[in-house]
Amino acid sequence: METVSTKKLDRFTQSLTPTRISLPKEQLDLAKAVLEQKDFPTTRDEAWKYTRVGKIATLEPRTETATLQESEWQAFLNLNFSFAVIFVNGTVQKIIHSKAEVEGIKITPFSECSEDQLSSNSESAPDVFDALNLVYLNDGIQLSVEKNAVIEHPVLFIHFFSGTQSVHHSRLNISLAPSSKLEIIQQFVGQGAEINYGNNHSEIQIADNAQLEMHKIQVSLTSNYLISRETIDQSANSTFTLHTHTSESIFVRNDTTVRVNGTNSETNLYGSYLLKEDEHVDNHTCIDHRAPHCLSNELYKGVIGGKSTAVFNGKVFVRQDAQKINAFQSNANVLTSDSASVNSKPELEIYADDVKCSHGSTTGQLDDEAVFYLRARGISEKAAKDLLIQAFLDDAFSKTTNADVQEILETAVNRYFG
Amino acid sequence: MGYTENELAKDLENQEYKFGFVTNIEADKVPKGLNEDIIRLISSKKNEPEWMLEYRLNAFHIWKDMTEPEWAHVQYEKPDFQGISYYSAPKKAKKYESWDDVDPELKETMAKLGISLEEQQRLTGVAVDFVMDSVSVGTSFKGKLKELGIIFCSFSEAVQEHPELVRKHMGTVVPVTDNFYAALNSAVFTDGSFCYIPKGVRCPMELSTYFRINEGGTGQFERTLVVADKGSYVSYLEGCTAPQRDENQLHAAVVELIALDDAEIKYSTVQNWYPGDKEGKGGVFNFVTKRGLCERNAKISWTQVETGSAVTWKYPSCILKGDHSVGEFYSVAVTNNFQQADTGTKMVHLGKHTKSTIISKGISAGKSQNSYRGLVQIHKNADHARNFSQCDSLLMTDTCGAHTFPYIECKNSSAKIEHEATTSKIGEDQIFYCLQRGISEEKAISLIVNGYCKEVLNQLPMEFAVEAQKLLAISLEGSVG
Repeated sequence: METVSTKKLDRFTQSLTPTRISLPKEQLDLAKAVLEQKDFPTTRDEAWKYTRVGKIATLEPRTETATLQESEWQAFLNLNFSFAVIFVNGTVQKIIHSKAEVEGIKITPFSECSEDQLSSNSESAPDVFDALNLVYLNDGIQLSVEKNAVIEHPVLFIHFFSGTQSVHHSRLNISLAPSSKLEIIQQFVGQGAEINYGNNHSEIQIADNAQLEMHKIQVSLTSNYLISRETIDQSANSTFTLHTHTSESIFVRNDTTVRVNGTNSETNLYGSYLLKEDEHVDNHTCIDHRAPHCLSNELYKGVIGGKSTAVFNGKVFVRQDAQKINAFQSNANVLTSDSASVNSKPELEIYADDVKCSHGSTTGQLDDEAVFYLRARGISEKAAKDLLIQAFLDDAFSKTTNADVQEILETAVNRYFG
Repeated sequence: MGYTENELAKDLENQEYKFGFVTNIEADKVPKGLNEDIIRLISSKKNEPEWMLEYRLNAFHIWKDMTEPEWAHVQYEKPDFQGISYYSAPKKAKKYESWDDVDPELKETMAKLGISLEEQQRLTGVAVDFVMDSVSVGTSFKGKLKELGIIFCSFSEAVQEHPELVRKHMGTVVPVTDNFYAALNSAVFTDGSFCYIPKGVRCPMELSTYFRINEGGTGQFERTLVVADKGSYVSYLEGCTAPQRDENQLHAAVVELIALDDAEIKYSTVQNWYPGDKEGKGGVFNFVTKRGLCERNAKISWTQVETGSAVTWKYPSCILKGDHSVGEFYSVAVTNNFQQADTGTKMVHLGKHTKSTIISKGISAGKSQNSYRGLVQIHKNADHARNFSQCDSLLMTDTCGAHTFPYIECKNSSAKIEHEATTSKIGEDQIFYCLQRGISEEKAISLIVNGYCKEVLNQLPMEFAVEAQKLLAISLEGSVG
């Protein structure tokens, strides 16, 4: 007699198509075992204490491929880029080259890679969402930058999501050879009003003296549940900077894990989130300092309105051998509505003694006196508040130097206040 | 004073009898293990009313279905709950035959704390079992308290003499279902303290369990209930400033504070139970549930200096239920050798205009692990709630760890919450400055550490603060290499 499984995960995966990508067998087997043993996390799991995944778990998902017309993505290409990769529902639809010749960079879809080209930097058993991503992977991109190559314009990844109850899994494997430099812009775009779920995982290796700056732009994913992850390995003298912006998105979970393996490295994580109505954003970051003489900065700022919830969980981990670490972390929130809530959990776990680590977290509202000051000068209440909020967010926004990204963010903010 | 030592001895004998303690220790120890019969036995030995027994049995049934919490950042071998004897009368037997038998290390420590020789002898249980001064002070205090209508007695006594008060308040702040150790405590607690301050009374002195030490010994499962009626004030000191070498493996105490409208409770603890030896063997597991409830305009202030215990798991909390109520938490936690501490507070803001302050100072040395874990929760109706938290950690060696796990949950847009934490070591320039002025390194560290903890130590009552300072110095002795 066949037993009926009560696991939500089994129901979730029953009509999904297993991946056709030739992932390393060991990695895939491990992921399959995880899916067999575990179920979706609940709020009893520390990492999901404030984020309910019930809405994802109760989808009736299927793998749905779609193709987009060129005209539909053209609007997103009005900026300088060296390459643009169009993902539609997790599958690579097109790789667009810029007009100018770009040297020192190689971009290959996973579907054209062999098993040994797709090695992974994962150190521990995957969690359920990672395992789902691997076992039901649609496609991915392997990107490598050659030694000493400085790529002038950013590489764009545009992830389009559409379809009813569909599930999209994609991966990026990015490696920067010594002394190279790259900028990446990832945009997540929801299409249509149907509910679907996307899960993207980037594995990034930054070699000695290399520099990577990455932007993640998650704007108006109004019916798209998104889980977006990065695992970064940094070698000596390297720099990694991440800018994450989320606004008006129904459910976004960002997980960033940075392992600083080499000395004299710098890690910067900046984030901003603007929530309205009934939205949820969860930013989890973990900076694991394993080598001495490193610096890390973290700044996350958010405005939460409507019935929205924001979660920030930042962890700074300093290993015993990682002396002379300076680690700073800050999270500031403004609540603009009585039904909004914020859960902030800045953590420090320190095993070395010669370090300077600090974290701060604030939650509050706009200063009444500042609003009064502006109103006394003939500015309407709404305009005054919007102005103050923009000033509040400016700290996080101003970390971006890319003018194209600034423009995208400006549009998003104007929409938010619109 | 027309009161001779002999008379006092007689009084105390009578008192002992009154409490029903039998001098023969063997006869007054229940067998190891925990089951319903044991609980019935404990309850009957203490001559408790039926409702108390029911309360215990209910707690026991709830406890049976619970599992030990594992989320704390500590590692230890779990105690065998069936291997513990849950009731034994206070140890009245002499531990040492003569003063010469007392462990010289213990003597030295006490001398450093500045405890008088008489007191030292009393604490180690040598020869004279009681010292006139402290007991007579205790009794004269009692008369004065009685005049004001303040009830201050052992928990067992309160169950017999003030059942209505105990029944009304017990378990209202820490319900039996609260957590594993609170449930265990509710089932098997042997004694503790009870304190009631009537309406509008300002308790004229610091109440301390210290004065009661000869009356009813407190076991490993003690229970404290402090009720401050409307508009009253009390400052309560807990624990021992003296190094009582308690060999008990597990301490699971419950402390409940209730501050009714406009009342204020100040609760101070200095804890230095046996932390285990330098190799990390032995030591006390201190798993305590402490919580206070504030009604309108009330204030509860927790101050703790934690230097002892092998494993500490303690979160003195405030439920700020009434509007305009205030909660405070001041803590110094020192860990050395293989000690582990996971301590902090919970501030639950329910009422409007509620305020809370958290100042936590952690010092880790040796191979110890010291964590701050705190929760600040602003509920939906807590308009204009205010919180300020500051958690600093000081690292003394490169083999210890200092961790911070703050949880900040806000559901009200008019709340203001600030949290900041820093981790660093003692500045070499600071030590250099002291050395240059002829202050030895050890003294310099003690000086700097005391300065670092000043904000918290200032909150302690005077005589406590002096001892706490000395305790800090002793705890960190030889920790810097």
